[in-house]
Amino acid sequence: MTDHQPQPIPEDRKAEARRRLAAARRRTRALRRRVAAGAAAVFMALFATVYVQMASGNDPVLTAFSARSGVAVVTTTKQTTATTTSSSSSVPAPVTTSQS
Amino acid sequence: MTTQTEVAQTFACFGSTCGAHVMGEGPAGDPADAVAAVRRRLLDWHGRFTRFSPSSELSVLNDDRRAEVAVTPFMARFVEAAVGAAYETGGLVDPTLLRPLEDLGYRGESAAPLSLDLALRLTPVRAPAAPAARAAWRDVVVDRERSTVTRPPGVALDSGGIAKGLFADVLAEDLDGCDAFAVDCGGDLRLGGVAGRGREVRVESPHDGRILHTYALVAGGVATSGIGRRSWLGTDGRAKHHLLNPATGRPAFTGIVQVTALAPTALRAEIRAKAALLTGPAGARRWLPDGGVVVYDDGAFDVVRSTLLTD
Repeated sequence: MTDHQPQPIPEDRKAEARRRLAAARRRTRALRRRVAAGAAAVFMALFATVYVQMASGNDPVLTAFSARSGVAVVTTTKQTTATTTSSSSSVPAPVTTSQS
Repeated sequence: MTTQTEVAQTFACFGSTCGAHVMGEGPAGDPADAVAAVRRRLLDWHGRFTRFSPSSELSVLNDDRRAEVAVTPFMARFVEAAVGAAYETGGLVDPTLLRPLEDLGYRGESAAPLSLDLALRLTPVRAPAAPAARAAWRDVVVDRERSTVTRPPGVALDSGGIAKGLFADVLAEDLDGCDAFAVDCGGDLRLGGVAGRGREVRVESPHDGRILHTYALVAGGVATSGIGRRSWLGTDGRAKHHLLNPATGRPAFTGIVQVTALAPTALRAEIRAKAALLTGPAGARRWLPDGGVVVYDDGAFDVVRSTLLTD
């Protein structure tokens, strides 16, 4: 019976394996970074869109209320002392309150 | 929902912008007639209630040296409302601060304005306002039947926001049969109508004019009181504005720059808005049982949900 002693792996092949392993890890890291950066960019873009929408006072829920107004005709007559507007609508026009 | 024509008109009045929106016919006629009537009445009241004209009915009353003065029924109604505001707020909303206000330099609608930001930076101390110890408003007595006002000569009444709230409510009485209406007396609003249609009411920021919140109301009163406008630089280099602390007779810097209040009527909303601002951040919300928006010095704001009828 012959003993089969494992052949020692040559140093140059070990080095090659380490190089390939390191290269694979680099690729994985780069891929992870790209996926994370992409996800962050998409999130920021969506968040910014919603933020700008809300900050400008155009809450979509409230807009739905406005949308029902369905303004068909608006005519404005401006005199020196007063501005008169006539509009056809199913919902009364909005009004604004501020310090007088 | 059917489409209808709404007529709206805006015009300069009370040193501000007033307006009316009317949809559907009512006791005042068609919408165009109704808004025209609103404008006529407001301009007439402006002439009678302005304190910047020595010949106005209010100025004549304030300058009268007699203790008891005969006034028109509508002036008696205003004085009753103004004194009622003081009783309702324990003297915090005090209509007898006209002379201290004039002494501070507020004698005309054209006073050089000071920006809100600068006014706040020039005034580092913040403190809640308090009623005046003297409480001159307790000496003002109105007899609606005889149409007289009795008060110690020298006690002068300021029409201010109380008159605007009252005017909006009185005009609402005339428009009540319309499908939908809104009366705007320089920011004091009264909404209503028999059709029960909701209307957006937008609350504007005193800092940058953006819309802070939008209510959708079918009926009720909305009023905004603040120090964002009508501020000026005094001769002592200090910032002044028209909302005085009754206890000191000096402009009130409480940490709140504007309050919008909702109430069943515009007069009540005006009283609540003023009282909330003068109370300061710690107790402002208790004056807003029907909703409102409180805006602080730094631009932050709180919204109190409306309990009024909404769309």
